[in-house]
Amino acid sequence: MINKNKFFFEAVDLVNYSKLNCNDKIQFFKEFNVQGNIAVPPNDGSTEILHDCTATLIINESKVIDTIEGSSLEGQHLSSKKLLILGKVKFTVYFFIPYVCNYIFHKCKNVAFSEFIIIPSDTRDDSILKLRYIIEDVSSTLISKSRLFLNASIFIEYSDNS
Amino acid sequence: MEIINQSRVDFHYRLSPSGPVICNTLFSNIVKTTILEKLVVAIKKVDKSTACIYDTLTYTICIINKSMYNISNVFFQDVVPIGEKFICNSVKVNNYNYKKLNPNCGFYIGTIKPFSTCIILFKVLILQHTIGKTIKNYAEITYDYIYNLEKPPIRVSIKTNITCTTVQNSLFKQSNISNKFKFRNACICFEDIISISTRISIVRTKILDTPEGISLEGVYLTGSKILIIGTANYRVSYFNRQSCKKCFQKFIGGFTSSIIIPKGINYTSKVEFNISTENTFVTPLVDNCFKADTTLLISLI
Repeated sequence: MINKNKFFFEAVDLVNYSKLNCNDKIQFFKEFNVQGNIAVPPNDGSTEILHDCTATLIINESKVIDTIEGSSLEGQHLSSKKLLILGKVKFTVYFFIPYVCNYIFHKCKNVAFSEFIIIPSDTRDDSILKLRYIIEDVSSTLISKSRLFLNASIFIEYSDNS
Repeated sequence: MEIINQSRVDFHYRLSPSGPVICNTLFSNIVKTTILEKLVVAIKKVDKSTACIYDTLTYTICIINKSMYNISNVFFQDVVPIGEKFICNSVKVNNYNYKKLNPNCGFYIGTIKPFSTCIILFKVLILQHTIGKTIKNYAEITYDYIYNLEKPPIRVSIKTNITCTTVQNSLFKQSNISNKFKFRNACICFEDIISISTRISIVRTKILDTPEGISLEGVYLTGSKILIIGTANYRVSYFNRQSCKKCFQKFIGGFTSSIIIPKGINYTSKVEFNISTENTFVTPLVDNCFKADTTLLISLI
């Protein structure tokens, strides 16, 4: 198991990412959605989201684990090593209540996730793991009078040349 | 080349048995046949024999002048078939981009020199509702043909070979959505649940940019994906033992799913989905809570 100070991760945006990787082929990545619900004050459905909610990615733990080697009929390829990433997404929602003027409320919600990335079979367990991530999109949608549905689309890449 | 043919009839006769033999010759009318030599050969190619909706296809048409003469007034036309849409500003003639040309209307490409080639390239978008169909396409080239130097040229049209692209159903996603719910009546247990029905509706969709690449795991990223945010409306029917009646309660849960799509989706404004709910089942949890798992198949049509 690799402890927390043995991995390094950085946030990049898509434009900078494209510049960084203009010549390299990306190979070790995962794309996933993290979803959550948050209760907002019921106000006859008129709770207004002033600002699209924001999301922050926090990676708590990352470790290299062994798996089998092979390819599934569905097209999934396993290389015998995978990187397990455990973390959480902190959503912050800003909203406005019509009868409380001149005040913007905010509410936070942490949603835990665990994902894995298939990595080369020769990855050493004790090496420093370099991760890059992009928060591609953060969306909030009112699905009922008092429930706001949150979603963050995340891309995480493991860099092999660490 | 022009072949001219005329018949000649020689005959002789006498006006009277004792008269002299008169020889005469008659000529028939002249028939002309113009033989068109195959001076120009046109070949058409498409970059994808199988594709999916919102994919872009690149058609390449190669016009070869096999003769030792200039081929002038060459007109090119390629009517894009139903199910495809021409992408504006995508026409290239001999690697030079011409912004205003449209193959549907056709355009002149001038003169092709002897033993030289003109390459035309343009892109089209495969539209929705074409899944399972084979899109066939060909181009038509018209040029001046001089068969007699003393006469004006005639217009000759040739067709290219037909290209075929089969549209496959490859934009779909199987996803499981899971939502917890709790009955208002705390006395309801798992055995009281009679049935559960699910209605899926899409709240909003977004087209997102992603990096491009193929992962070691086998995931292919094209650079675009569509994010689907929706709601699952559950209607749970249960037997109320206190009132001995069949009751129901409604719940709502959100879900998201993303489908990797071709970058060509940026050329269209309308995206249509087909969502089928394959199965829903309920699992009892602790504290009178239940979990509803629904298997969905979302496909772009």
